[in-house]
Amino acid sequence: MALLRANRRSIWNSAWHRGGSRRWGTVMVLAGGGSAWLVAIALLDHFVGPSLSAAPSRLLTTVSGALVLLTGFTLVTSVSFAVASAYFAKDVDWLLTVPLSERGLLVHRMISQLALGVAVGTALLGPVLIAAGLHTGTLWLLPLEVLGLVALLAVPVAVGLLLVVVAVRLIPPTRVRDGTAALICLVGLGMAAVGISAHRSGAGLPWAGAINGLGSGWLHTAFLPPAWAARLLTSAWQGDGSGALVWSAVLLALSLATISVVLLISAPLHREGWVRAQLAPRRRTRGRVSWRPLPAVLALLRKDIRNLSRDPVQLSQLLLPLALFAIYLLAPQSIASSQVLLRNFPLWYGPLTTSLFAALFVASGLGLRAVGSEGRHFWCLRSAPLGVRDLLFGKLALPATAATGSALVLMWAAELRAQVPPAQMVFSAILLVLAVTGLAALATGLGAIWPRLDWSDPRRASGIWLSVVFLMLGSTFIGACLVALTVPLVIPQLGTVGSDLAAIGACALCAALAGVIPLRVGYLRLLRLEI
Amino acid sequence: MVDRLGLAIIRPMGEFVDGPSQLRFVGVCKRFGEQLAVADLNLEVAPGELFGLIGPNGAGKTTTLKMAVGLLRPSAGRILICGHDVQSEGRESRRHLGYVPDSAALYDRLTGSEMLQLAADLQGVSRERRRRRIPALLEAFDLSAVQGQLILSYSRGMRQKLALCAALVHDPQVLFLDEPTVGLDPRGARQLKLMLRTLCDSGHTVFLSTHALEIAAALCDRIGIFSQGTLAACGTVAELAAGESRPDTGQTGLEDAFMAVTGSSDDEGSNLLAALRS
Repeated sequence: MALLRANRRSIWNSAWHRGGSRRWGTVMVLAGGGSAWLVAIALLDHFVGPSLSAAPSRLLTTVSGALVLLTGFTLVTSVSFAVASAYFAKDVDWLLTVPLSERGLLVHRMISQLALGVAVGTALLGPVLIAAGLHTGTLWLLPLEVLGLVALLAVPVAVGLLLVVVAVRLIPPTRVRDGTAALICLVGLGMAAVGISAHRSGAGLPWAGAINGLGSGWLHTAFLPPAWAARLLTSAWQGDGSGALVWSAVLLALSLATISVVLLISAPLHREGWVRAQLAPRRRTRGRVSWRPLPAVLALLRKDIRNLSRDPVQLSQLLLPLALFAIYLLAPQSIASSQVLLRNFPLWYGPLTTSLFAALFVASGLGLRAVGSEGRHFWCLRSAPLGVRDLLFGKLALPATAATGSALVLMWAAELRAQVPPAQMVFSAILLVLAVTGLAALATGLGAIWPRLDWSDPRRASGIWLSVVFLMLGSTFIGACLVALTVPLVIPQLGTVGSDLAAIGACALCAALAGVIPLRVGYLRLLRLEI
Repeated sequence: MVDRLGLAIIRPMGEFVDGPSQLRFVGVCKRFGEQLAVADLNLEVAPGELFGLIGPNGAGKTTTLKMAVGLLRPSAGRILICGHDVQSEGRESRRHLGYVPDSAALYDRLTGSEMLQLAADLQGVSRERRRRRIPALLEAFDLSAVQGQLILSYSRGMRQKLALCAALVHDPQVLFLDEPTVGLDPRGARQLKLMLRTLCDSGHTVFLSTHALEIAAALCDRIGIFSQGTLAACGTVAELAAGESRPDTGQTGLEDAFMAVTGSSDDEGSNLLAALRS
């Protein structure tokens, strides 16, 4: 309880006691989030009504499917959370030296994750449950629904922790962490691949297809906890209070039993695993070092490439969206559907658009956190004779290269499949390079304007709000680019060469505007920055 | 000649290499909002001098070092390194300095030798020089065996040594060290002291902050005692101990001088005892 109280206090301090701007930001976020939440409830009321009036078995099947997905997602993320909080958190060393039982420590970790999950669930699922309750007039059963859902999600959280504790007894926690990143990557990729294939083949969403295939099979029978939670929700929406009470009690009993068993097994293993992790030798040596001097910009690029390539978690975060875009672009029916949709546009238009959005995510992953990823290492660069301009160019080099390279590969692969003429491939490549450079500069500039240098973990180098702002600005930039480069192509008076040159000029102008302004502001910000 | 710590000394302490001061603070102030962290600091450090800054926590020592290396901007005044203003000639001044912060954060996913290569690239060290200097530094600090391992596997002391190597890779004229012996084992601490003395003997300037009075007393040519943002006393150990720089104290020994200058009293001891017995 003392740990949870300390957590609560630190969240409050970080939101409220870190200066006026932070306090103002917290108020804005809460006000904005609250308004969006209320608007979502009002909007969902229109959509939830028809869904709730579907046949009970169909409703049960759909809700079961959604809850299976939610449970699976929670299990995967809980593995990642458990390895970070039980083995890599900075307070673990200290907590293992105070008279706190391993069981207490693990319970604290589970409750922390569950609290985070409840907060996210309240934001995302809360409007759905409230809208359904309002529509059916069963809002008074909402506490039972929440209790049941929290109990349901406590099961994968506990199981995830158990998996991690057992795994760390066998392999080092760093490998578990890296493996988890790959697992999340694979699960995400698999789900997206199934979804895209099912969507392209007309089967609809993946879980809908799977559920329809199973019909009234095992998925919504009483063998699976998500199906119990689905029964709880459907009972509540039908006004069956006793049914809802029974199912929530069943779920609560299940979660308590699971947590007890998990604690029984994992408490004695945790300390052994932690000690073993401390003693494990990490003798991964690297190859010979080249003595050739490099200019500062290239030295920074080389350093960033090494950092990225040796961090599987960052690498998987970068590769996952690229893989999804690759599947989307290269799926069997993609060319036909793209050609139907864009029949009045050049053949390269569809691949270019999709590749630009793929580059947007790469730029977000690398450019936005380029400066911030220096974190507490920033003193190394600031105390060296390195100008701020060189620093920014060095930081721009990796996102620009990676985003351009990956987007080019994606676009050319799609264009080859669509049999785009070589001249048009070159032309679209020029447009892509210009636009992606602008995107990377926009991301790097924004990251330099608001760098977060108080982290030693590069994944925390850019905040969620900055990412959202960048994705919005970046999407707007892509839209503006596409409009600007399209206009000359539809003016017949310009001729082929003239329209091509005008399109390149328009694209270059957009890129310059989008890139130079944030880079300049970021430059001035870094000049004044004190660390 | 060998001093009482067994360190080789080529020339007696206090005799510095001739030439203009390599480090000058001229009326330097630093404010954080309403709080005055450093007030009107005027100080010159000669070539070959090892200057130690001591003072209680929050006295302004780290702020002073950070201003000197360009991580913080002075609110007023100038800092000159080898004649170059840290603010207006930032790049040129940083070519002449090396810096090791307190608990230096290094790039965990680089190896030790890659980290030194990066430092050499940023400082523009030539191929021949780095081929000679990097292995020598790694050897001197017992890091040769682990130079191919990622820094994330290094202990705190190894990181501290590597940060020192990175600061020395370009042979800087002025070396700034913030709590340099923290995390070092006795052997590492001894190597550091020997290295600092050797550097000063060859005309380099070392400016360090420390809490360890015995290290400051044994190592430094001059010591400045910082208290509440001001340089309250400055002189050689003998001068400080004799109370020459603060004739009113009448204390003997560096610790007593420190206590007298920073306003500490015997009441603190009784307060501590009372707290422990409570």
